[in-house]
Amino acid sequence: MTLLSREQTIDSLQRFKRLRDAALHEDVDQFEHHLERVVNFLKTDPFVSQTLNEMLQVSQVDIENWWQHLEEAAAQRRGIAGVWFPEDSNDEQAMRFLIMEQIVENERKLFDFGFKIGVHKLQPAKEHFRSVVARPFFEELSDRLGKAAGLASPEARALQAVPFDRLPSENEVKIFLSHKTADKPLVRRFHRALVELGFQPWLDEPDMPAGRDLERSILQGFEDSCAAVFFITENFVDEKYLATEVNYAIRQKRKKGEKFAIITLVFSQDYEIPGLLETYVYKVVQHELDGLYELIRALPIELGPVRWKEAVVRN
Amino acid sequence: MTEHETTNDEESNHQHFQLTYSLDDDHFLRRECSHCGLPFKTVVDELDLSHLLSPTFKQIEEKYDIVLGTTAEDEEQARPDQLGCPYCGQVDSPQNMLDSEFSNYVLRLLEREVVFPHLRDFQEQLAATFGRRTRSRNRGFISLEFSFQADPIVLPVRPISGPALPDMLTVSLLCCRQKIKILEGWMETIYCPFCQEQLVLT
Repeated sequence: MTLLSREQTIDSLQRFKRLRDAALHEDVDQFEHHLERVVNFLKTDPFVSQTLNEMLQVSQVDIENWWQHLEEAAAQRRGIAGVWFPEDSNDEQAMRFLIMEQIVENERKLFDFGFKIGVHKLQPAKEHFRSVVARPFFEELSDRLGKAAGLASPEARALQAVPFDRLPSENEVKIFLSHKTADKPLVRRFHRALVELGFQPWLDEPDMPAGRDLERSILQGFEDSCAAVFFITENFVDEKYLATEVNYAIRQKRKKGEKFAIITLVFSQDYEIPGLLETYVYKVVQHELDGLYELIRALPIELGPVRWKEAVVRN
Repeated sequence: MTEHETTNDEESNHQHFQLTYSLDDDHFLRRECSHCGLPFKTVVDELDLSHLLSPTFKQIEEKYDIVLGTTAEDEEQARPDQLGCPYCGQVDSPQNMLDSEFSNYVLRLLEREVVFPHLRDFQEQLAATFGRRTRSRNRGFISLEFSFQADPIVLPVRPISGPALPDMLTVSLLCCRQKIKILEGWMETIYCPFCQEQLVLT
C-alpha cells in the first residue's frame, strides 16, 4: 500500500466528493459525462484507487451474469425491485463499479438498462440507474474511504489557545532558588527536576554571568522571577544573608502581587522559620519529592505552554 | 454515515424523516465563516443539528403545511444564538456559519423528501381532475375535452453525507474550556467562537 501524506488524502477526498455529487445530483442530461469523470478518477486517484482495488481484487463477479439476471427479472415483470446484486459486500461493490465502467465505455447500455427494468425513455432510465446502481456504490465507498482516511490521517497535534492576560513574558517566569552553599547538592536536584518539567529555575551557579556583581545578579534574578523558593535546612542559620534575599523577595511580592509567590520549604519541623518568612505560606515537607510537589502547587504559573493560572489573573 | 428514515403517517398526513449528517471522527462539524469564508469546525450534537436546521425547517413547514421531524427537546434547551469566526472574529448566527457542503446536503435532502413528494401529489391531483374526457350532456352547452399526460416524477437521488475530511488542527480554548478545529498553518491569533476573546496559539 502506498503511503500518502495527510494533504494528499484530504485532497483526494475533496475531489471524490465533488465528482460523486456531480454524478448523483447534476442535471441528468449530463450524467454520462459526470459518470465518466468520476469513474476515471476512482481508477487513477492514488488514495481512492487503493480502496477500490481492495474490493476489486477480492471479488469474482461476472458482469454478464448481472445483465442476464436483469433480463430474467424483466421477463418476470419484477421491474426495478428485481435488480439483483451479489450478497457479499465486496462482490456487490465490484459489480456496481464494473457496471458503471461498462456504461462509460458504451452509453447504449443505459438504454439496455432502461428497457430491462421497464423504463423506455433515456432520462428516467438514467435517473433510475443513478438511484439503483450508482448511489449505493458511492455511499458504501464513501463510508470505506472515510475509514481509510481516518487510519491514514491520525489526529494531528493539538494546540492551545490562551487568553492574552494569561501569557507571561519570558523575563518573568524564572523560579529563584534561594539556598545556602551547603545545600547546593539538594538545590541542584530541585533545579534539574524543574528544568526537566519545563520550568526555568534560577540558580546562582549556572545563571550568573562570570565577573558580574553578585548582588546585582541576584537582584536581576528576582526581577525575572515569578517565585522565590527558600530551602530551610539545618544549614540555613546565617540570618543576615537570608535577610537580603528575603527582602528582595518581599519587594517582588509587593510589586507583582499574585504573579509572585514566596515559597518556603522547611525540611524538618525542628527548624525555626525565619521571622521575615513567617507571614508567607510555608510547608514542612517530609522528603524532596514532597517538597517538589508543594513547590509546583504554589507556583503562579502552570506546566504545558507557560501561562498564568486562571485564578491569578481572574481575581 | 448518512441515514434517512422516512415514514408517512396516513392518519395525520404528516411526513417525518430523520437526518443524520456525517461528522469527523471527533464529532466536529465543518463550518464556514459568513464573513471571511474560511473554514473551521466545532463540536455539535443532535440538538445542535436540530437547532441549526430549525429556521429552514420552519420555512418548509409553513410553506407546505407539514411537520418535519423536529424534536421537543430543541425547544426546551437554549442554544447559543451567536457564533464567532476564529479567524476574523465576525459574529453571526450559527445557522449562517455553515459550509456549502452542509447546505447543499440539506437542500437536496429536503428536495427529495419534501418538495418532490408534494410535486408528485400535485401531479396526481391534476391527473385525477383533468386527466379524463368530459362531455356536455345538454344541447346548447359547449363541449370541451381535456387530457393530461406526464411522465411519472422520479425522486432525485438521496444525497450522501461525508466522508468528513480529517483535516484541521484541534485547539483547546482555555477561555471557555471548549475545543474547535482550525486551519493547519494558521499562525496568527484566533478569536474564541463562543466568548469572542482574542487568544494566542501556543
